[in-house]
Amino acid sequence: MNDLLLAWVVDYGGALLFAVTYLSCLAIPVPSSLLMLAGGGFIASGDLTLISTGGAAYLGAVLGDQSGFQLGRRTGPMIEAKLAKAPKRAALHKKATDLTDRHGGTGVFLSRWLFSPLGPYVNFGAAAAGLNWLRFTIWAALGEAVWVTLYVGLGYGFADRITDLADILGNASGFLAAGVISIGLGYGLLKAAKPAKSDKSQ
Amino acid sequence: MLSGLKHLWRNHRLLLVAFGFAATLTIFFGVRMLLFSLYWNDPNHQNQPLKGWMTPRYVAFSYGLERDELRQILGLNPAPVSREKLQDILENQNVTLDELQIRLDAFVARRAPQ
Repeated sequence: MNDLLLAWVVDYGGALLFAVTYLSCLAIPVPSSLLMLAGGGFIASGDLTLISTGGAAYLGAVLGDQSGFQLGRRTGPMIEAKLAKAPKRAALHKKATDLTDRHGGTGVFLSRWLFSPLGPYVNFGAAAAGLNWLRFTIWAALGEAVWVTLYVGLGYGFADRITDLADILGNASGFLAAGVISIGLGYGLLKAAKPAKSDKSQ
Repeated sequence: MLSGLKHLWRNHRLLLVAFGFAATLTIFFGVRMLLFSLYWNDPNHQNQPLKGWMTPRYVAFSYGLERDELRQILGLNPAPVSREKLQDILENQNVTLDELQIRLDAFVARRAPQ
């Protein structure tokens, strides 16, 4: 499957990268990292050009983010209406909204490239939690610039070993994404564990 | 520690299970990342094997060959059309990727004796 997609990078260049980065921003499992690395590799060999390849990948990613955001924005009020009926969940929703308000920009930026497997869900969640569109757009566009530059750049620099590199990077981003979620959940557990002592003393 | 865990299991089961799942995934990806990094560093694996999706230019670039040298190995005459893939070129020539790989490795070995 990957070999076929890699052959398509040669045949369709920017058009394929545009489609792939767009879809990956909507949580559709396409090997966008590998194909961006390949794009970089073919720029290095002179088969593709930087502007058409990198530009198309970037445009796809930015538009994909916007689509995800719009989807979240439409669903947000529905979630809110449902949660309003359950006070405990409404409190959780309030927490999520506050967190988004305080750290939403940074979260969006980092989930574009450092924790990229989380990106699509952050788009959706940030919109549903009411993140301002302009703030989202600026941070997302900056983050996607880092993502595309990083992968196309690494593909360019290590053109002779893109499939091996994709194996390392794919697992590294899985490690980072799962790691940051573990830390978040672990923090939640620590907080939840504290009342245990007061429970006992009562 | 154990009583804390019991308390969490009773009152925050979902959170605890989610944490366990996420931590397992972290370890899983961490180990794979390490293994692939070791593979990357192994000198035996530092030449990417030929694949059908590669273009002659890409092969020349990644094996450090001049385009004319590669053209010679491929037995191409005249010059390949830009962005033609190995799979298309080889189909026309009745040569398999493996045969080409042997030719290429032999050429590279001849050129840079260790």
